Amino acid sequence: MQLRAGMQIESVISPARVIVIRAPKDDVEVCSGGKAMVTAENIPGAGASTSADDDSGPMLGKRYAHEALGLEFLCTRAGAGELTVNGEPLILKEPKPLPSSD
Amino acid sequence: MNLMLLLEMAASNDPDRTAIGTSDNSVTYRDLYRRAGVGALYLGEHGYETVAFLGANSSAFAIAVFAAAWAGIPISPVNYRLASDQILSLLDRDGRVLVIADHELAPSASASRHDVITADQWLELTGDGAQREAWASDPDQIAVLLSTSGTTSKPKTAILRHRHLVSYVLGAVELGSADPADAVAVSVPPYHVAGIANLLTNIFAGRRIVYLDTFTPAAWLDTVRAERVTHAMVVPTMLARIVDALDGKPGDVPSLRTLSYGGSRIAATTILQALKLFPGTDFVNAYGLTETSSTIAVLSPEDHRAALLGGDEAARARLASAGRLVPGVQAQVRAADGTPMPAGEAGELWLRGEQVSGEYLAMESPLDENGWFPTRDRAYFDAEQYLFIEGRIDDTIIRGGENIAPAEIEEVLMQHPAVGDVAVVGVPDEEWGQTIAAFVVPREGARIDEDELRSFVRGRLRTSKTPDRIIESDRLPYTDSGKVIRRLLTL
Repeated sequence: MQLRAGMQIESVISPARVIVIRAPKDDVEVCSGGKAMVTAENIPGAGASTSADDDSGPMLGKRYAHEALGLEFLCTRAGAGELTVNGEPLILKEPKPLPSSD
Repeated sequence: MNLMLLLEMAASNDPDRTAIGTSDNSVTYRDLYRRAGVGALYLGEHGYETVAFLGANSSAFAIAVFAAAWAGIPISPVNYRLASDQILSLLDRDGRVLVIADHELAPSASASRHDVITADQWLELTGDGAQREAWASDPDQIAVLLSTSGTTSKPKTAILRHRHLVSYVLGAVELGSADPADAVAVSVPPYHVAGIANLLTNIFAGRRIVYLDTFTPAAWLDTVRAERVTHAMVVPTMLARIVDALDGKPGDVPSLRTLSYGGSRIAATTILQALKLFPGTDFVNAYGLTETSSTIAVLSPEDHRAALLGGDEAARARLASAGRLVPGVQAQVRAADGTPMPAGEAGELWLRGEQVSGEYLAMESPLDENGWFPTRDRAYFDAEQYLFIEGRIDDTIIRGGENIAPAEIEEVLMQHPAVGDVAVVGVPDEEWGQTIAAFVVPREGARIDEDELRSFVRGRLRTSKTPDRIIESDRLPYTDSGKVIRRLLTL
């Protein structure tokens, strides 16, 4: 799928949801637990949760990246299912907070 | 993308944490979220198209911001310190508007043709009831309408869409990154972009917000001590008043880890004194505009320390800079004809990025074809990408063909012991085009000697930058955010 910054995508197997922070130029295949993720608006029955003790999925508020592709997600809802892009797992990004200016 | 995404994430992350309030009167994240949903249902059912908020910062304001976002309508914080006829003209808009006003301001708002409720009534009606269903996620919806400062021309109404503000927050802050004991003292008003940015970033970070409505140095110091405030944001005039009030005594605020300042230029003497009076506090200088969803450049605590300790002249000079760009923002410095300027040379600052709006109500977009926004600020970058803001382009004095930034002359005059405050402006002149006038407020008990001040400037700058006229004034006209209203300074 063609990602763009600000877009939200959802897992079809869990409540997991991410927002795109940085998007690669080219189309990519984004999966959660091996199933293609979809644009958040289009999912009926969102919120239905699956295996609660599966901690392979994204955690709320954490950032996941694929540096070579220039891709970054922020998890806006936790859920099961490892995130992959073009078959490769995303790496949990260490936060680099800016000095608080507000 | 909707501001509600930020609150939903924060409320899911730690629902029982205090979002806003003092230790004995507060709102949790769960309360804030629930009340926003109840308020949104009310706004939708009554067909409101805008919420105008006329009052000081409070949990009522925060609820109104998120309720409007949930309902998919803009919120317009109005400067409640204006005279009632000015308030009425700001409230004069099309469509159905709900005005939420502080108790004492409700009578002046009721002369408008809109529905008016008090902030207390708003708290009461959001206290209990059903919530609206899911919010719209259209990133292009308008989230906030804000008046710009308008120091050189008539104020404009800037448009900030959900995508601008959400991008700013997600680019700058980590969810729940604040310690549970953290608290931030906010003394910028809700109708200033820093007031909006403060609310959103601190909510997302999970940092308790303590509002201080009427700023005085004593009230600010008392609040920081009593509430064990760890973070605070002030405008330079506030910092100058705090430094004056301390009169050389240390700040004695052990809880305060970070003090950020911004909104206008700060005198070098003020920041140097402040660094000495608050030795245990990290200082952050933030630069941004209403049109850029607040901060686009930050001078970090490390930069402040390097300036204080370092023997390096460039490091010391950076104390007068706005620091470096935040991630996601691009900048260009351009000459008047559009040519990009190399490092070290000043021109107009143009900005681009997800958080940059640059749109105004009822005006053509000032963005160029590639989405760059002209800030009307004159600026340059040094060799290490530190941004130096020289002032508004419209304030630049053109004397005999030479461009002169008033700030440079003001900086020098502020170093003179007799000068308490100063603003330099250009005045029309037949021979030179413009000449330089300095409006000087003498320090208490001091006398202004015109010739002495002129030679003081001449000894430090060129003759062409020496004020042609020195005008003694009782006080200078300021906006609440500490900007001199230069259009009021005429001979």
